[in-house]
Amino acid sequence: MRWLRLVRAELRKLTTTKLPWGFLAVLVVLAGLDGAVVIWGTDFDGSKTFISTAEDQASLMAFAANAMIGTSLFGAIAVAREYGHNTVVPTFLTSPRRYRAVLAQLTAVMLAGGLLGLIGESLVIGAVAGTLPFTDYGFLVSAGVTAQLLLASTCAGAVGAGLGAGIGTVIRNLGGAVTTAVVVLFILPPLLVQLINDAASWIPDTLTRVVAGVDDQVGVPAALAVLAGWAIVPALLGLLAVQRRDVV
Amino acid sequence: MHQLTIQNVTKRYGKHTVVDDLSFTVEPGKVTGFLGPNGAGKSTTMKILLDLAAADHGRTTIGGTRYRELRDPTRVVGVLLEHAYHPGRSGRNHLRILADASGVPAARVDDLLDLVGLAEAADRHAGAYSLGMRQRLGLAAALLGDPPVLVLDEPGNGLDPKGLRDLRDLLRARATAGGTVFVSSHLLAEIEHLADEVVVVNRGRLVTHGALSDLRGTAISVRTPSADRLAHILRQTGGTVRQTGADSLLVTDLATNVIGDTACAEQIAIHGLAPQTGSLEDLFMQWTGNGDHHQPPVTDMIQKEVAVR
Repeated sequence: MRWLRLVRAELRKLTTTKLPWGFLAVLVVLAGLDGAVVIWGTDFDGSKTFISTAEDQASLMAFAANAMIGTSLFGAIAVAREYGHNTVVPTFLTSPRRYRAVLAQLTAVMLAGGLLGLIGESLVIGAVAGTLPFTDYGFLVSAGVTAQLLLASTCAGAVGAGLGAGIGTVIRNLGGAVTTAVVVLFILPPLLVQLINDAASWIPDTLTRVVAGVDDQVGVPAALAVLAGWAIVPALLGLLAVQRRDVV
Repeated sequence: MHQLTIQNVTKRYGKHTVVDDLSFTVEPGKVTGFLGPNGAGKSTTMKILLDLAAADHGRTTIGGTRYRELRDPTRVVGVLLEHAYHPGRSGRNHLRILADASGVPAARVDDLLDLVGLAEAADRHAGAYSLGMRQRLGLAAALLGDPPVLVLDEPGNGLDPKGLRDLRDLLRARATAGGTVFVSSHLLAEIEHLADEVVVVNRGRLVTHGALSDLRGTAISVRTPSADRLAHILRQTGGTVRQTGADSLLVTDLATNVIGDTACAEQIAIHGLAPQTGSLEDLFMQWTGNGDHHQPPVTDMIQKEVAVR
């Protein structure tokens, strides 16, 4: 009950600043770009084969990787600014058992991240479906695949937000947290692939494509589990970091 | 009834000792002022009491319980530390978040906004608030759970005279009702009007602790035409003597009758002999040397600036 109160407070924190609206605006812009690509984009030969099959359309609409990157920034900003503005002080005064407060914060940020992922994917699907009538092709993706795309982006959004929140808790500085999130999602995966060949199947980009159903390098349950690991590791580091650290 | 206990607390940052084996208690039913120059360790001590910082040694309790062990801390301790708000969030939402987290009814938020005079500005962004308004918001947050204990760091900062008076009345009422009020401030005149007891720290160590009225009586003001000679004799007798004017001394560590008898034996005329009734500022300067040991005196800074021009 007490923990649910903390989650409610954290959700109110997220909805009472302009941060989520900024991210929603970015999602609208990205969906608009997808729509523009459908209308005006062509392949090298001038044709529109990139939207000619259900698989091509699903691949175009697969938003999960973008959702993960975007929400990792969202999570990092949402948590690191708590330290920047000292609002973590009343949080820890209300909940001196800090793991409860941090778990509540992670939960709220992941819920918001999941919602952003879902909204982002919905907007993209809407944009693609809404612009296809301006081409020679109809909307070919089945309801099942559409649902899987939505589910994948929701999961990826939640995971990305958890990853960002964990990093924000450890780093605390806004610029440092955002930079670290970018490094973890843009620079670390290719480095891992160079060092370990098999790692290509387990980096976020591949995992989100598997969950979205547009790649089959690994099974969906394994992909979901490893994807969750990308959030769990930084979240655990964050939980450990706050236990004895002075709030100054 | 909640007594605050600071017991042998030491806190170091690297090689720098910020709080050095500090011990004192803050009693319920009184307003206790926490005084010391900048960097004396006041805020760090408060943070250790509230489990926001970990002591290297020692223990702090609130009513015999560690802060982190309190079941419902918002309803036991109201805290005002440095400003802690998101500038893009309204004052009302700031309080509603704290109310959500601590299970306080939302109606209490409106009551408190009225109480601290922020009702009209409640829906404006806190970043647009003046210093005094931010302080009022912090006070509202401290009072949210109607706690019996208040721990306030510089609560009078930025308040206008009416705000200061309201604050004084509020804290006095809380103490009279049996609450424990622990207030740090550098506004000595404010503490003088407000506090029943003071705890004075300097360089992380306890300088003095007690009822303000008792502490005032510990120094004896002496007026004599032979100030230099009497000062020399009283020092030899074991007193601590500070010459405050051509014909006046401030003596501690000697009783009034000892000073009078010593002067009589040496045939030194005494024109005045009384417990010191100077301002808290005078006492503070006496307790802490020149006050702020981290910053040069203002007169020095002015002289340097004039020299540069």
